[in-house]
Amino acid sequence: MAGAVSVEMPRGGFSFELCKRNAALAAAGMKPPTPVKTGTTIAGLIFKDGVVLGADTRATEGSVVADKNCAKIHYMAKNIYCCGAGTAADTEYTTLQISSELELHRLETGRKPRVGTALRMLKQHLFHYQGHIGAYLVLGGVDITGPNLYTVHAHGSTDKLPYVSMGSGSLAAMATFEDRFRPNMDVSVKTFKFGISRKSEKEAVQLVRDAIVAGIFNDLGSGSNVDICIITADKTEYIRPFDVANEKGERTGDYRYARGTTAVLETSVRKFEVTSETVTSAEPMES
Amino acid sequence: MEMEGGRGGVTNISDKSGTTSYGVQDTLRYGYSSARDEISPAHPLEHVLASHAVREEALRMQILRDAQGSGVPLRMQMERSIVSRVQRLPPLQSSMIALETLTGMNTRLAPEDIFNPPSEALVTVNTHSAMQRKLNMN
Repeated sequence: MAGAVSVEMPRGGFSFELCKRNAALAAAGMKPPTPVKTGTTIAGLIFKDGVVLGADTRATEGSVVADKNCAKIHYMAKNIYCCGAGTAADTEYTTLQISSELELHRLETGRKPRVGTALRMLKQHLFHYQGHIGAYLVLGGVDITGPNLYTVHAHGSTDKLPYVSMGSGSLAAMATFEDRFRPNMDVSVKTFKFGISRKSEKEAVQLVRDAIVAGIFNDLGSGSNVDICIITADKTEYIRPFDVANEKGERTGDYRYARGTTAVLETSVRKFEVTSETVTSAEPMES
Repeated sequence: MEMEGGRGGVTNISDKSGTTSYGVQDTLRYGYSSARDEISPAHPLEHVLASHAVREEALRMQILRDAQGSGVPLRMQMERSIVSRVQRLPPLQSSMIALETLTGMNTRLAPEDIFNPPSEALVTVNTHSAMQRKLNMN
């Protein structure tokens, strides 16, 4: 309200001003707009040299696909990324806020942020809001303690596991992991490139990709592409899109008529001569 | 010990919600007024957010007291009360930079920093009553 006089300066933060009005309107029969949810498959696993995170790219609004190519793997720090499921805006802004706090923390301490630090910040933030922030996250990264992988639920509970999945397609993804996951995924033959064993990475990445694809094909809330983020001790690779699961078929025929298909039977050109020009100014309309 | 200023609790600035600019109940938007609505929070989070900073501080102090004896929290509270004494007079905002450095709030980001900053609030503070309030004259 403009011009209201108060004794105390107002504090910032969330305003609950309209909650009672919205409740009254809803009781009177108004349907409030629904938030965009990421009916999602997100997953991650720890392999020998680091962490692989994966996500699909579909955002839904009820039964409508709101976005066919949204990014669900969010940046936290150079060595930490976070996949988000749940309310799209909540995952986006929770990760954005914690990522800013991590950067402030890094500047304050002068150390590379640990995944545990990010986890603690996320769970305390989410617990503070009692589950009203609908962010279901998979947090992964490599720090001084090695590769770390966690899940965070909207109410603030967390898990630490070698392979995790979240979202509506989590069952499909977890089934794939349960079937094929091996600890310390590695193979005997190593091809070294940039100091990273590419072959062990390839197996882990392929498994995450298959887990996400299982979600894309078996869960209606998930779809479109596969995004992958590979974090190792010395570098982070964010591949978007890693794989397009549902490539649209190409039309084989061309249904447009070629130029000159219609025969020109007759042509006549008429030329006009401009004899005079008059300029009239328009009066403004009465107000 | 009560600490003035600083960041933390979100106070409900909507104590006049539901009324029109003439001060009567806006029945079309807010429905009929009821005594229960007026005292109950509009949203379950409202109370949690308002009291969170105080509860967290009390918990932290209790942990310190149990772990290291009552001297440590006493000393911390003394430091905080010293730095929180340096403030501008009421209608002006105090940055409370020293207090925020002590509590570590300067490295935290919260919705209070982003949504509805007090600098953009459409509320005029009555200097006279704000001073009276500060000096406990009312």
